[in-house]
Amino acid sequence: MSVIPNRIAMLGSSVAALGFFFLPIVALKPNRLAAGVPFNLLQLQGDYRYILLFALALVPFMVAFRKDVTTRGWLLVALGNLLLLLTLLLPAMAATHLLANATQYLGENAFVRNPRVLPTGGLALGLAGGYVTLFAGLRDLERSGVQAWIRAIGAWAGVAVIAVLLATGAFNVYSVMVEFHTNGAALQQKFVEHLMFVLVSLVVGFIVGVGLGLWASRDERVSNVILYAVGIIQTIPSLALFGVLLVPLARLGDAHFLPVALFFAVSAVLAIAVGLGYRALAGRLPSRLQTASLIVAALVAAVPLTLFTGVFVSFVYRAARIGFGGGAMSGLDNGILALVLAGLGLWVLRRWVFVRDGVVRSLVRWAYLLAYAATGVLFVVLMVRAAATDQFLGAVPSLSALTVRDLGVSGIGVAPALVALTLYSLLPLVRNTYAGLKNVDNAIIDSGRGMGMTPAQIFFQIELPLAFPVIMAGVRNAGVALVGIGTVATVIGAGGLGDFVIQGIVNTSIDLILLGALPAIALAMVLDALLRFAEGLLTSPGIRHAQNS
Amino acid sequence: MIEFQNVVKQFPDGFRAVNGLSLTVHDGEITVFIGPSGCGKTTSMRMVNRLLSITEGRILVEGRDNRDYPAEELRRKIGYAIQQIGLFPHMTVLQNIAVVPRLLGWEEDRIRKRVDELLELVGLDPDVNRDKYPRQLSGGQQQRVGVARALGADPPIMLMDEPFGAIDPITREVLQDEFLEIQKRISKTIIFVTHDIDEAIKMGDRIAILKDGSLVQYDTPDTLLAKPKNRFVRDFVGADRQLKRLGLLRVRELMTRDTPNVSLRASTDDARRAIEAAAVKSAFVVDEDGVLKGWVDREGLRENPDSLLDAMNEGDFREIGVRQSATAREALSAMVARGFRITPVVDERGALVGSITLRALQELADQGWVEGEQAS
Ligand SMILES: Nc1ncnc2c1ncn2[C@@H]1O[C@H](COP(=O)(O)OP(=O)(O)OP(=O)(O)O)[C@@H](O)[C@H]1O
Ligand SMILES: [Mg+2]
Repeated sequence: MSVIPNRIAMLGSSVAALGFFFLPIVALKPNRLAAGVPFNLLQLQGDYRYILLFALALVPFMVAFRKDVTTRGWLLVALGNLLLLLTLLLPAMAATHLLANATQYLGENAFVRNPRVLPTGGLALGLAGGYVTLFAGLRDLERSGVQAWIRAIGAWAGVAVIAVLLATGAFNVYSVMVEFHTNGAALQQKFVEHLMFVLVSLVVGFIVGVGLGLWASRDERVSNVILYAVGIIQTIPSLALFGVLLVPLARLGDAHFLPVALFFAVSAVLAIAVGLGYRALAGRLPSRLQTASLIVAALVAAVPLTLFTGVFVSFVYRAARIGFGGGAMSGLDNGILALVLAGLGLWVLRRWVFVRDGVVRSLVRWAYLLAYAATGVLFVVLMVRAAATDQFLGAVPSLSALTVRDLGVSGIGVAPALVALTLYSLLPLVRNTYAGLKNVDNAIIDSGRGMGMTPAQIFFQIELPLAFPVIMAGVRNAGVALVGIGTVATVIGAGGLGDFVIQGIVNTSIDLILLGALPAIALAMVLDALLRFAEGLLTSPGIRHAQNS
Repeated sequence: MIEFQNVVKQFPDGFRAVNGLSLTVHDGEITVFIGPSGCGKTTSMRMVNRLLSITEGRILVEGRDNRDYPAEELRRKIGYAIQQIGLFPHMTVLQNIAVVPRLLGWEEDRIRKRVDELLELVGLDPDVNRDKYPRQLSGGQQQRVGVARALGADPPIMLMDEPFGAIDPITREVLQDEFLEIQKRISKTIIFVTHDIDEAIKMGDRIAILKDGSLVQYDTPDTLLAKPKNRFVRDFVGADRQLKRLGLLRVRELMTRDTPNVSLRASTDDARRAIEAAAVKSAFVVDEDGVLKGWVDREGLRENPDSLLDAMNEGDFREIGVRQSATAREALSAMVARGFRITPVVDERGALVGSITLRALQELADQGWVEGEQAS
């Protein structure tokens, strides 16, 4: 087998080297707003180290031609990590010098107050090049069959070192870090907000989306309607979607809870009736009418479903925020959480730990039960605690006075953001669930049926595990997309990391934009990595490779 | 026992795939369904475990209408193996084979024991293969696991839809032989679908020939070959059906046991006497253990009147003899290839146990041919 050169590594190498050579790596700014003076890597005052960094960027290009894939992979991983680390670290060192002599570089007339060093294009390309090189190396390692967890170490080593350095203040000269130190508390709060609405809408989107995908995969005629509908949602620009939701949600918020609940119940019953009627008539209706009646049923069902989803999402978000928001977690919380995690861990590990011994087996079973119970208890505790605060329904005198707004629904703020984000998460979730289930080989399902599995057993023991990687890919797509789209939610006052971005745009402060954007990027990456990890653990080794691309 | 009684299958689009099928699958026998593509073999089979509903008529499984069983319960007592194998790719070999036992709620230890036993049965080393995933197995190995899985909970009945269809001819023969060996031990009641007539003749205790959803002929392979009911069957079994029939007969059943033979130590006179006494042209030569060493004929004795060792034609028993377990067809082909009119029959050790003549085989074939012609 002839080994082709690693083209991706060549790309990474070129990107970094060209960036270092042609673009300024940092700019020295006299204060927050004024434009800065750019510096090239090779212009940096100092010593040979900066030239070495440039040289380092060229090395992956040569390594790319090595024939031994495993060695090449490890070299590239090491080089990629080194590039990431040094691209950040060396200019930071130089920056100390720049800052000390700020007046000298900026000239006499500059208004020097709180001078800072802005990372610029060269640094960005250096990081990009490093990342691409790292990725190229990981691909080689995967190809040569290095185990996933060893690869994961290679992938995250550099990031870990950077995180440690970040904590020790090695990068404090960078302007983003300066902003970070002035806005630290706010950032933490915004980050939590952001995380919350990504997670809440992802969870609700998952429930709804997987449900719809399942339905679509069962009924060919429904599938067209559903896939088309979620496809349409995706084409609406996010700002427009927020705008569209503004009025109905505001109206909904004004409404009293009881009539809304009644409406929900009535339309749900209606939808079920239409559905059953369709069932009864199916086959007897001419085919054109069949599709039409199905769409009617779907629409009738969509109204209460959307309503319910909107209210439910807002309510869960509010409850979770208030329930968790009470400051430090108590010992009880921690205990319960530990149980939940232990149960989860056991569940994940059960594939590897084949327990033959009867006693251990029943112990494990008890541990499961305990963990399930703990999950339930945690939920109840959260809800009760949320309900006990007077922020939450506390001010409402009676059930009949309860408005939907008291449950967290309003025209601006978090509710429309959550609804919009949930809607956006639907397409990848529905599409992947549908595709995953559709792709399960008929012969496999046929043998399951032939062996006497019930439809539920076939679904849970065969179809779901086989479609799982595809569904999880949809969850990852949705999650990463939500982190990004979530930054737009700031325009309707929902908060989140978008607040910094908007502020930064208004003030033409790149630092502030970055302060919002970098944590969002990090969040997206970590979320993706965590979901990938979970996917890897939960996917059977028997199908892991086939689905890996 | 499985009894089809006037079974009709009409699909929702109005197509009648099975049209009044009546036949009985006997206990412990392999009944082969065969016929041209689209004749309704698969459809008939899938009605037995109710993967397809029956439009008219009924199917009795162990004397009971199969619609009286709850569908899942029925299927769990009927093994099911298909051409596409349909192993669950996300489960290990063990988990695949354990599916039905688990559905039936067996104890884990019993399941593991059963799985190992089945793997041994289908010729796979349990310790090597138990924890592999299907993608780590070759096609033939997957097919074996498929059979093992169908046997999982020791069902009395098996449905096999072209189980060896997607496999190269050599492996297929091996699997067929192995499966026949297994069947000897387990004696399941089996419906076996194929469209390969050679496979049908080899595997079937009885063969049902279907055409356009109807039964054309249902007989043992030998009867089917000897007396095809009509032109369709005759064409279907092929012009070489006499030859195929010989494939059903074992040399053991056809050979002559007292065949002229002499010891290596014997004199040429002894040999000559033996040949003349039997009024044949040659005699076989064996060593003190009775193992075939060659043959000697009148001509050889004339040219070397002094030494039997010089007069005889030496040959290894594997080269010049046929095993008593070989089919008559194999014996015939060996004789044609070697230009013999008579061939010695040996046992596993190579000891001479008898002989068989070209004429005997010819007579056998003629007899069938005539009978077959008369019947149609
Ligand atoms: N679901 C269905 N709807 C309508 N017609 C069907 C359906 N399934 C099978 N048929 C038709 O019934 C006939 C018998 O099909 P079946 O699968 O039993 O054939 P077969 O004898 O197993 O053929 P093969 O050797 O090709 O497997 C075919 O003509 C097929 O087109
Ligand atoms: Mg078929």
